[in-house]
Amino acid sequence: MVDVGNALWALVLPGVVLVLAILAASGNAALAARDRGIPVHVGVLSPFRETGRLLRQQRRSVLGADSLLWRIGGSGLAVAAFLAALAVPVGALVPLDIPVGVVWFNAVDVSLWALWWLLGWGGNSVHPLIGGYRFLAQALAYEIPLMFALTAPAIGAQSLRLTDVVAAQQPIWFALTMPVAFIVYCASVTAFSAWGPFAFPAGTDIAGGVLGELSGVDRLLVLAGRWCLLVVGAAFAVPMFLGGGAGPLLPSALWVLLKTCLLLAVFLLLGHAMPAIRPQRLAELGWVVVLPLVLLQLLVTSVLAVMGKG
Amino acid sequence: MGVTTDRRRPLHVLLVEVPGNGAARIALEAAAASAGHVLATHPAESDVLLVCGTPGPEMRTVIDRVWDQMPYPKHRAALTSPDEIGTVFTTAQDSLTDRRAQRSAAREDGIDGRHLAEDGPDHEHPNDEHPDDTDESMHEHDMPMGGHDHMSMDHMSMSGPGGYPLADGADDRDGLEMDVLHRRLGPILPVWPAGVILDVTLTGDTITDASASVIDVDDHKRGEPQSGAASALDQAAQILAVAGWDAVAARTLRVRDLAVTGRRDQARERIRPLRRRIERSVMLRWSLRGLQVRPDIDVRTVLLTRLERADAALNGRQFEPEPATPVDEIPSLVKGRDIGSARLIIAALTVFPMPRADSADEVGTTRRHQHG
Repeated sequence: MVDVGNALWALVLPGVVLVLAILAASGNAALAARDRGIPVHVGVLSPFRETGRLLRQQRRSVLGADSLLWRIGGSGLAVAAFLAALAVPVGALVPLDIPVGVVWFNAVDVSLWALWWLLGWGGNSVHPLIGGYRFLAQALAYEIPLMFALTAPAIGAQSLRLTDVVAAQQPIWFALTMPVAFIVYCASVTAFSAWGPFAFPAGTDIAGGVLGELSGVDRLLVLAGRWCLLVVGAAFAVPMFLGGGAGPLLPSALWVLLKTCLLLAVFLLLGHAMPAIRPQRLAELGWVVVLPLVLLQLLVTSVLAVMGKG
Repeated sequence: MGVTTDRRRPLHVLLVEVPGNGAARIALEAAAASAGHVLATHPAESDVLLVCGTPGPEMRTVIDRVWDQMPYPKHRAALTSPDEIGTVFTTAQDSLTDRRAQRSAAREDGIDGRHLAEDGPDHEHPNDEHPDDTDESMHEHDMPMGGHDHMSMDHMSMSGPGGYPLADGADDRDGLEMDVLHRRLGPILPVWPAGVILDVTLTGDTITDASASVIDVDDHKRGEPQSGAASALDQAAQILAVAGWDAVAARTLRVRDLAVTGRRDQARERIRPLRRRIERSVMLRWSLRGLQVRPDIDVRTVLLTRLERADAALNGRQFEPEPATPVDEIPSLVKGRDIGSARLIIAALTVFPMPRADSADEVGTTRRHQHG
């Protein structure tokens, strides 16, 4: 019975992620419209209109482009997001309840290195290529701290299985007991989505960077994939740091959805308020400040875990 | 097809400023924003090409090339008087939704119009009907922002068609071997001084050599230095946009638009909180650290000064205009920098479209001069 439920859920999951991605894009566009002094409803509707526009737009080809790798990079982002979403427990449903769920997420996030790079490199064009370089520089800064941040809940729960991690957060969420890991995780999610303060790989100064040469459906796939990554990053934080489906009154699946939406809203508001961090500065921050902090977090978590067991 | 033919659909507009038409560009940007249209950063995402002013011969060639790179459906227009601003967007929307006309134009370009509204295979232009030069300009999306010469192709692909040579390698600042790419920046690039062309040699993303010139230098009248609140705010927003702080850049542009459309009271109300927010941002200060425009002045100081000037102008006070930098001083400022830092420095300059030695004869000779 649960197997059938899981199979059905796995089928509708991309749809759910896409709906949340559209919500996030709408919210973001509304915030941007407010800044620019445009009526907010124009912003809210813009993702739908943009979709219509891009579906009608001609796809471009670039001379000398490695089209296969370029398209793999572009379409892979959304696929990576869906794969990561499979491991998120929603109520009793976990399509991918593997003993190494945390590692699964990590594997997907490492694949983003390749996908963003292919997107920048495949177009055979200077500005997207520089966007690709920038993503790699950014990834070097966030990836190691992210890996340690993912390790912390696993140590706290003494398991890499997400359902165990959720069970270990009774009664206190890991977001409260390991705040540094939680913050580093959230920052890394926006960084691997190349969004907000970490949007320099797609910066205005390099004419859109990795997004530069894309038009039509190819552009739509990348933009949608980027939002899906942000959504799934928020959704994965729920079992890892926010107690999973735990909460009063509502069924646990609804709590997962609610927490995901709330975290997404926080991403949007904070991402909106902050200036972008230039990749060379980010490396400094990542290795000199964040990495020692997250290691310290891990030490504290490990000591607490050992004492708890002892 | 209700969704795809929606007339109220916001346009993605690629604005091209012919040197000396800054005020027209600002007016057009304000009109575009108030109608909910988006300013495009790249030809690939644009559906409308709008030229502010009357381009000279070189500029026309570059504009045609960028036009060729835009995907269908597309529309182009040139604005020579402010009166046309009122109708330019509705005309563009009508033209974009005229499927028949768009298809036949695409077919004339050698693109199969049936693919316009569908997921078609990649649209390769047929090679037969174009002479080499035009054909290359159609294909050469590799240099979307301007002209290029054949000696400086920046292809890296092993299978690069057309017999282009592979990029050479050289060590970058960290001793890693990177591809050496030759690339022309400008004159059509988002947040870029009008008409300026910067030919750069890139190792990775580091500018190892550069030479600067101005397009159609003999043709256009020397642009009058801009003054006033709108111009100062526009320049401040340019730094913010290049620095990647889109939200605050948008707020700055909003104040600019209020000032330029005669709502100075509202602009005056908003400028102080805006200045405070930018001045107090620790992250911005940290991000812009070490970017010197001149030995005594850095990018952040220029940004704050521009906001101060705007504030003064809105409140009717006098202020000194920003000193202009001759175009041939740009290379020495950007060499050895990564492209992001270089863009920030350039955004912090008021570029004077003539070399320091300012006579028509010398202009001709210094234009191609490599600054070594």
